[in-house]
Amino acid sequence: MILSNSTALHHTCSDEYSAITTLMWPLRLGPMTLSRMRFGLANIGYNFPYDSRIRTTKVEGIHGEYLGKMVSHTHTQHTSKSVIFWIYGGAFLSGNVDGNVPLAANYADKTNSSAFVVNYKLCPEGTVENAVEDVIDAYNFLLASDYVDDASNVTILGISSGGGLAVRLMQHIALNKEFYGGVTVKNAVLICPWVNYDIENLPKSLVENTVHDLIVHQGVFSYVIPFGPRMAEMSDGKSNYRKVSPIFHR
Amino acid sequence: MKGLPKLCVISSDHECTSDETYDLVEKCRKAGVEVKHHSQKYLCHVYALLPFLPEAQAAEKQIVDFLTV
Repeated sequence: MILSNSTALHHTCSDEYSAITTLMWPLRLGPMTLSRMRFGLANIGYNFPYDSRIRTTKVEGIHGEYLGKMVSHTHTQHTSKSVIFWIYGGAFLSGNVDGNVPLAANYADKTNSSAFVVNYKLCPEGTVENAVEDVIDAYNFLLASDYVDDASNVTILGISSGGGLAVRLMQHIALNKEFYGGVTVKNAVLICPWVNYDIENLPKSLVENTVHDLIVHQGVFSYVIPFGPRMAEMSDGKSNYRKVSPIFHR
Repeated sequence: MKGLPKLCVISSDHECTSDETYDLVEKCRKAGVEVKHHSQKYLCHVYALLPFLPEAQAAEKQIVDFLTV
């Protein structure tokens, strides 16, 4: 306990947080690889207890593309068609639908909703712009489907880089009001959103807080940053950090 | 940021995306967007997704309350 409390950032953190700080600290010493990142994020759902009531339905687009999964609980008596549009995180390099299903199901259950966990292309196979296109396509498909009545029943939830995609999606909806009939989503939740990808002018916290951050520690930071130019690549093959970053959009 | 819906933002003051989260919240509020920002001290990035932490359980309650009101 004494060791745990001395490794967390502050003595007011819970014992559980202090303990996990101690247990996870050595992870920053090992080499980071894409496989390790993807394995870790693909298994994030194991933090949640197994729930046999979770039901998933794979959703495909008109050309058979994998758009994501609808998630609900078999016992939930839905009184509305509320849907949480769930955008996972993982620094654009990792994260996947199946790993996020238990998390999305947990929030769906507690809010009497369904959830739609959206699938999008990761880097370096794709770019941030590819991911934005995938998220917009999936949102448009969902609106046209029977899964929701209209956009006013949709909550967007984005985690980290998924939070950045959530902001880009909401900016797209706001800029194309006529296309969407003037209806925007009901609300949105952003969990620690990553919205600035300008690696030439990194925010101070992105550099300094990696020293004690359990999740984005120095090993993750130094591995992710070199992917910046590929992430920010536009259709002309040139990188534009400010254009891909939702924080610089009006 | 004009035209964005009501937002609930969960973050920590001591994690890597802290600065940009505050920038985002400020820009949204200036654009007239209603934002509920819950920021905890001393915690790591996406702590809200570690359900065995009391801090994460508090964040989950903030999110569920926001979505069900």
